[in-house]
Amino acid sequence: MTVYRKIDRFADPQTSKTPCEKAPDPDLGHDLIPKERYTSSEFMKLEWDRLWTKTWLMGAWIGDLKEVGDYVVTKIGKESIVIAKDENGQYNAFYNVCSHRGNQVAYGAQGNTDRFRCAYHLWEYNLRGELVHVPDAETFPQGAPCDKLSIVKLPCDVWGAWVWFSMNPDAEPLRDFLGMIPEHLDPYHMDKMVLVNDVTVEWDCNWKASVDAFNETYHLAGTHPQLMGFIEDYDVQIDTYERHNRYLIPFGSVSTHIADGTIMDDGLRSFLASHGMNPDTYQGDGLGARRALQKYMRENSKKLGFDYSDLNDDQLTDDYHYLIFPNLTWNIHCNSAMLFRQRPHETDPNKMYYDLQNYVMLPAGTPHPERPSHRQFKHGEESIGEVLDQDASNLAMVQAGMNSAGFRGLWISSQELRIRHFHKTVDDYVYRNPIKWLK
Amino acid sequence: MIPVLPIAALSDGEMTRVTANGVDLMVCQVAGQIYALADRCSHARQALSNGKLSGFEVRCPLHGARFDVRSGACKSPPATFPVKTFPVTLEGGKVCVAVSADDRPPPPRFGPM
Repeated sequence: MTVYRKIDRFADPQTSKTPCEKAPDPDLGHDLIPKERYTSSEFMKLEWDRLWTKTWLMGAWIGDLKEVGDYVVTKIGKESIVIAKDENGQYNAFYNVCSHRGNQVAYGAQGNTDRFRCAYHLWEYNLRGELVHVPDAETFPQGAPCDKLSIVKLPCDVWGAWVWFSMNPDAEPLRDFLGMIPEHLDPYHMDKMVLVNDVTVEWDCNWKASVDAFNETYHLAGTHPQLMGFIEDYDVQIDTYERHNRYLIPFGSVSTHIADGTIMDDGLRSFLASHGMNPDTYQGDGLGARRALQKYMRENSKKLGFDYSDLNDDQLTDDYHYLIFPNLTWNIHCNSAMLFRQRPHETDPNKMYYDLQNYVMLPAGTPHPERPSHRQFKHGEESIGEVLDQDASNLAMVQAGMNSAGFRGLWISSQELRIRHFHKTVDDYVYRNPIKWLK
Repeated sequence: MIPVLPIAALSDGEMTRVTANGVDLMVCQVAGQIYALADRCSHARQALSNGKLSGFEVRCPLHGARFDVRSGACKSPPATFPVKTFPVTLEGGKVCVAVSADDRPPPPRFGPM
């Protein structure tokens, strides 16, 4: 039973560096979202030709590209892309393919090198993908000119803590593509956060089913009932922008779906403790805890070792959750960022790769932990945490539903406006207005 | 071993919740044997003792995940992982369970905050 409690917002729109005012809702209608886009090979092909190969994509964390010669190999669909830092400190992106016979030139997920030497015939490329050596070059009567046989380079740029690339040689500048994102997220200083978890899980669903799963809070009561003691799931501000969207989820407050808001459960107590506040010192109830924690963190930030001066009060507790189109969903908190990158399978619309990366801001003076090694496994082989296991457990069954003759299509609520906006943007790329998006 | 309830309190095919060392347990009797499991679905923490016991299978009240009470093994989605089971002995007319305070569940968390 919905109680319709309103949650107070304490962010001051006049001073907040991250814009916090509600954006006007677009009129996107109420149609079913077609289910075929989750299962159709034809749609998958259109997405590849008109979306994946046209947008900017996040490629690598800059923490993995500190030194000259550091490189990361990132995979997207059927492509493998090398991102490398050269002698000039510049980042370069190029296809992971030798110009000779098509072998790959960079091996493993990351490493450091001065040359990419193809293991097949030892053709050599520098950190920009430029061909620098061909063994027995005189045996190519047509020539083996280094300047003509360099690996195809891709647009590459940096924002935040990540290097981005595009498979579209005519891509608009990264900043134009990101639009309002830097203004909204730079105040979090995510470039100062450290990576503490890095896994890829093979999920049996289309990549869009995963994006959808994280773009609404309507599923909290059904899928994550244990979180309702400290997360508001109904009075959530949704904002859609040109391509990207967000919602602002109040944390540290009893869900409005729980009639008795006075309860301080273990989850809420733990939420206070994880932000440095002893829950035993708090005398109020479950609805006042969020504001009490905001005040505590503001007053004690120095003692806690954090600089919250660029964040508004709500950002100290709440989840500012962003979708950076097409495939990045982020739970962003003052001290952490949980990044989900959804990547399409090479060939099968019923499968995807779910990249989970956790970044944390460490208190001042804390030594940085070693970078965790990347692990990849199938859903169910390992837990990725109680909450994400719950999300994951729905998705294979959702995908089965997309393939069912008995399913009509997605019937979307206003709480799921971000899903509608996301699919509208997918449509803009795939169908309606390619000229505008593709330039 | 901690005594948790009189053997006579439980008839065959029945389950009940007890708490020992701060740990909530589901204790049940099936085919003459007594079993003890964490009274917490491995999926979303619901009390299995509020669910349904059919033969050796208990069904979670909220999402319907099923577990074998003998091993704790997960028998259906949406759960993926087993439920912890605890050794049971019968002493002096009491059901006794080996459970320690370390078996208390961690508080719910959203992520590494």
